[in-house]
Amino acid sequence: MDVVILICHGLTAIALLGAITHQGLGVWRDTPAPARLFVDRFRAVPGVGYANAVVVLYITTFALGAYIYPAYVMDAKRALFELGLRKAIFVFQMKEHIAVIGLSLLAAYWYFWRQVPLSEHVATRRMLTTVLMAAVWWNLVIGHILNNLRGIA
Amino acid sequence: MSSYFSLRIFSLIFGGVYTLAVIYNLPLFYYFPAVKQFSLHDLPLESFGPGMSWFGWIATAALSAVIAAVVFPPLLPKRWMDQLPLGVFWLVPLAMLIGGFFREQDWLLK
Repeated sequence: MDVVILICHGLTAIALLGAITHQGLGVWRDTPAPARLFVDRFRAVPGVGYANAVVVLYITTFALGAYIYPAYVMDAKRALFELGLRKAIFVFQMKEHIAVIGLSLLAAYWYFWRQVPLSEHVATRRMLTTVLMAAVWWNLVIGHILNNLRGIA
Repeated sequence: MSSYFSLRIFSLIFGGVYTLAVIYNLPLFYYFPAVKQFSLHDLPLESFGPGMSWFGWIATAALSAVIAAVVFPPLLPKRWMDQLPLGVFWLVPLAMLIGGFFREQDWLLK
């Protein structure tokens, strides 16, 4: 069961990564000029439409991760400890704190996307979206590496 | 919703209290994964295995943030809320990161 939840956790994390990356790069796009290059087309999305999806996906990913966290403590963390991989444990523990950073910002993030006119508080919206995007990217990459670490080590 | 429950205060208080809860180890409860039991106290029994504070830290922060988000909005002048500087939304994540590092530094240093 834990493996199924771990896979679901990974899948929702990838969906979240796509949504927050579209929005996170799009929020820095100033010009309404037509997008011709691939990167511009990637960024030329109405970011407001992603806010609800990001909140739902973040909470879902977080909840699934929290559910399997005790299994990690009992199994993977113990194995990493026995292998002497203390830095890997440190990185994973920080991943959990960074996940909570994102969780704490979600309410303000949603407020500035959905309750405030898009012409106001642009800098705050950019900052919150960028921090959330950085947290999601960091946690997905680190989670993926650590998930494979037992095999590598 | 925002007049009865301030989402911005929720975020800021959640982050601030989580930082303090992590640094001073103030979980609302502990979870013992080996026996799948919650406890309000850390139980130093070997049979219970290691206790987890992480869920308790989140609960401490969430409970404080919900109370603050309900209680503060009627008390604070509206213009204060409208003029919250952008910096506070940078400072809180930074403080949380430092708090997390403070808690986990032993994994690097020992």
